[in-house]
Order: sequence, then C-alpha cells, then structure tokens
Amino acid sequence: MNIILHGDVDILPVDSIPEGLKKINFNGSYVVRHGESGNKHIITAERTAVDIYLDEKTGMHYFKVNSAVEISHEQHKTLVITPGIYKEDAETEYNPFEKMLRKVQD
Amino acid sequence: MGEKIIRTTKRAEGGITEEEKKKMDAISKKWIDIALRTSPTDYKDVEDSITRLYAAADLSKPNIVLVPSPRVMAWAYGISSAVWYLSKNIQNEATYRAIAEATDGATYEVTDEATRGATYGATRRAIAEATREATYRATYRATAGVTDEATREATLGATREATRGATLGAIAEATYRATLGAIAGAIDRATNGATAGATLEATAGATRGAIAEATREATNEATRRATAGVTAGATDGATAGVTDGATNEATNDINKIFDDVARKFVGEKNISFARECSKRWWNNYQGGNMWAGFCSYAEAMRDVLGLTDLDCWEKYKAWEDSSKIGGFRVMHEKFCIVSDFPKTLSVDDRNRAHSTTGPSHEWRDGWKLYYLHGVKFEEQEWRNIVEKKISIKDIMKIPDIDKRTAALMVRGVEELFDELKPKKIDSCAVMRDGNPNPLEYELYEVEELTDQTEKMLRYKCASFDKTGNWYIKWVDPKYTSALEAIADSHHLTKEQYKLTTIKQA
Repeated sequence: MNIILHGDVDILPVDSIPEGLKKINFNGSYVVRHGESGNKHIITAERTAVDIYLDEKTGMHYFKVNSAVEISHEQHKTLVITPGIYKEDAETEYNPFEKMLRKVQD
Repeated sequence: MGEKIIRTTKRAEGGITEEEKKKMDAISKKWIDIALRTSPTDYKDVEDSITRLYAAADLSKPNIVLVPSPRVMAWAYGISSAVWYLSKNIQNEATYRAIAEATDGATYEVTDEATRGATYGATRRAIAEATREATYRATYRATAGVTDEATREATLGATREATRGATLGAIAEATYRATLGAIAGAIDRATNGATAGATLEATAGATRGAIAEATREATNEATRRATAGVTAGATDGATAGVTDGATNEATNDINKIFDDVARKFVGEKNISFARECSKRWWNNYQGGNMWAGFCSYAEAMRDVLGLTDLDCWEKYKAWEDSSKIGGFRVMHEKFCIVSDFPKTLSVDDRNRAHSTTGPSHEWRDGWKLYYLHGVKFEEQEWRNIVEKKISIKDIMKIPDIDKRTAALMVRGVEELFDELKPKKIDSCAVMRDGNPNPLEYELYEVEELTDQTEKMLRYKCASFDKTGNWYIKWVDPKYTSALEAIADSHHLTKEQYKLTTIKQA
C-alpha cells in the first residue's frame, strides 16, 4: 500500500472498510471529487480492479484496490494506487479570518 | 536502440532516426500552429471535407453548418437534434403540425433576417443578439428538410395511429410530460453518438489500427512521443481542455437566448427536451483542429516513416482535412455543425490558457473566456486581479487554491511580500523516489493581517503538480516547523509525510 497525496485529495491506507457504506457501481471510471473550477480527480481502471464505497455522511470514499489503479486530474500528474485498502481524506488549510480549519478547494 | 531499422511502404521497425526526429519536430510544429489557429475558416473547405468524412463512413451528406463558436454549436445541436427526433418519433398529427408550423415560422423569420443582412452586418450588436442569431440560423440550417418530412409523416400518421398508436403514442406522451427522468431514453436516442463514432472509426480509428499493425512498439511509441505527445502537450490544455469545459458550462447554464430560439423550433412544451439534448453535445462531438495530436502522429507515420501503402490513407484524408478546417464539431445523421476557430487564443510560456490584457479565448460571436495560468475566472474576478482592484489580502481570501495561486502569480510574490511583509521562520526540503528535485517548504510569520500573528506556508505540490506552481496557504499559528505544518494538513506525521509514494502512471 502507498500514501497518495493528489493535490487536495489524500488517499491514505487503512486496515478495513467500515460497515454500512454505499457501494458504488464502478464501470471503469469514477470521479472521486469535483473541484470548484471544474477539475476532477478521476480513478480509472478495469471494472474489477477496485471496489469503491461512499460514506454518505461525510461524502468521503473508501477503496479496496485489487490491482493497480490510476488517479488523474487536470492539474496533477497521474499517480498509481497499489493494491490495498484506503480511505479518502482532504487536505486542510487554516482560515485566519475565521480562525478555523477547512478543506482545501481546487 | 539495438533493433534494425526497417522502412518499407507497409512496414516500419527499429525506432526512429535523428533525421526522422527532425522531420517529426517540423510536423509537430505545423500541427501546433493548426491547433492554435485564430484566422477564420472558409465554408467551402468545411463543406468539402465534412462531406468526404461522412462518405468515408458510407453516410449521406448532411446539412453542413458553420457556426462562430462551440457554444452556438452545442446550443444549435441540442435544438436541431430535438427537432429531428420529434419529427420522426411523435405519432400524433397535431404535434406534427405544431412542429411543422414552428419550423415554418422559423424559416420565414430567418429568410426575413437574411434580407436584412446588410443592416445587421453594418450594425454592431450586443453579444447576446449575435449569439441568439447565430444559434437561430444554425438550427434553421441544420433542420432544413425537416418540415417536409414532418408534413409527410403527419399525413401518414392518421393511418398509422390506428394500428400502432398504442405503442408509439407512449413516446409522444413521454416527451410531452417533459420530466427529465421520463424522457431520458428519448434524449439519448436523439443525441446518440453513432454518427461521430462511425466517422471516427472509419477514418482515424482505422488508421490507428493499420499503423499499429505496420510498426513495432518501439517505433510506434517513439513516433507517438515525438509527434502526438509534443503536439498535444503544447496545445491540449489551452485548446481542447479549455473548450471542452467551457462548452459544458455553457450547456449546463442555458439562458433565455437558448429558450427563445428553442421555443420557435420545438414549441414551449419541448424546450426542456431541447435543453437536455444540448447538454449531450459531447455524445456526438469530434475535436477538429483541437485534436491535433493524432494528426501529427499519423502524418509522421505516412510521410516520414513512409508507410504510404496502408489501406487506411484514402479515408483518413477526410479526417485529416476536417481537422485543418475547423474546431469542435457535432456529427448527426442529418446535420453536422462545425465551430469556427477562435479569434483570440492566448497562452503563457508553458502553453496554459492565459492573458492579463484581455480574454484568453474569444470567438467571433463574442463568447469570451478569461484564464490566468490555466485557471478559469469570471470576467469581473479577472479584472479585479489584473487591474489591481483587490489587495493581496483579499486575494489570500479566495477560497479556491488554484485561483488564489494563479492570482498571486499574476500579481507577483514581490507584491505579496511588499504588502504582507512575511518573515521566514523555517524551511525544509524533502527528497522522494521518482522526483529529481527536492520538494521545498517555507514557513512564514505574517503580522497585521488579523489581530494576531498568522503563519503562512509556501510550498510546491507533493503530487508532482503539472503546473509546478508555488502554492501559498495559511496554517494554524501553532506551527513552528514547515514540515510539521504540511504533514499535519494531510493528516500525517512528519515521518509518514516523507514516505508518501509518488509512483507515476
């Protein structure tokens, strides 16, 4: 497993996928996150290469990667996610005017 | 290289030579220029090449329409495909008559407008009017002939209805209901990509296959890198990528102009249907000059490596010529709408869409896009930045980090440092496998931004950002270590952060 930092999307290794998540019908291409400026983080792979689950409470995904998949984006180079179990997280930044953390938007 | 160089008119092996590489560089340069073309096209050239492109796929010559921009292309496509679909599928005489009358009405108005062309031409109109007229005229031309078909079908309709009304009537009902879910199937059928797919497969697709069979991987890959890779790399971001996104936005944000034109052709009840058809423009599109990468690759295979005896070239010529004479196009069984080239297309030194003096893209109907270093802005946002109407402090409040970064690049780090006077308190560099350069992080203190000392992190993106930009973001004032600040923002320890994998595809 590897740690992937793909712009504002973090793909981090975890031990297991929580119960009760919604399984996504993956047909070879899936947009993990849309950016405000229209750019997208997209996972592309054979249908059986990855199982994707959506945590509907947080909007974040979990991934069971069975064979290597690629994640691409208009502004970032395409990276390879090796087999393993992962969760999606978001890069954060501090807002000095509101004194609080927020997700980075791109 | 090792492998023996083989060149016949049907076979190329052994990689590419230095001399061939030089010739390919010239071909790439030629296609980059074509991709970035801003002079207007000529309708006769469009008509000739598009007719041959349809013929290559054994399709009849469609109504061929030249429009000033991809936005007009997508809008006219939506309305036109709706007209053709409705005329063929609604088995109801009253509806036929309504469509025929609506189309007739449009015909009369367009004819009338045409007679007043001189006046129109001499008068500088608002952009909205130009777009309305262009969409209207394009739809009219794309639907030429539909009135005859609709009227004929209406006569036959009464007989047909007696026998199969129950089944086919459901389609009409579904259309009338105009709920998006119910008409989804109709929209898909109205905008299906069979024509674009057939022409692509008969020309470029067949060529790709023939070349693959005639070469070995080393030669194919070397040629691809020297041509398609170079051409697409130099142009895609500012041409196909930008146009694709902007056209999608234009069809997802359809306005009154579209509705006005759609109403005249398909009637009030079918405006929603036409809108949804318009959103499917990409079902049936080809990139024209903005897909220049493949053309440079195919030309190099044919004219540099000398694969002149492959079966594909005669049909491919129609694709190649069609790529030289226009931008995006939508291909329908009955019509083909081709967008003219933009009149302005500006890029920065890394070929990203960019201009600080005006729109980066402008088409001849007045459709404009504003980009800074590859990032799209609304016109007012763009003006605020380039005309220095907002301060660096306000730029630092822009929520989108890409916009913030592009804006700071335009205004310059000097201005940021002049205004905010940050004081560097820590820096570090991290080396990773696969990255020849260290990733650098700098932590600054900033006074007088708020009521306390704030901390600012300046860094390069860890995922080998294509843009190579320095990013700037605020971090919690508690941090004293640049590495700890960046690691924590990704929910990692400093040690984990150093281990992040960056294996590229």
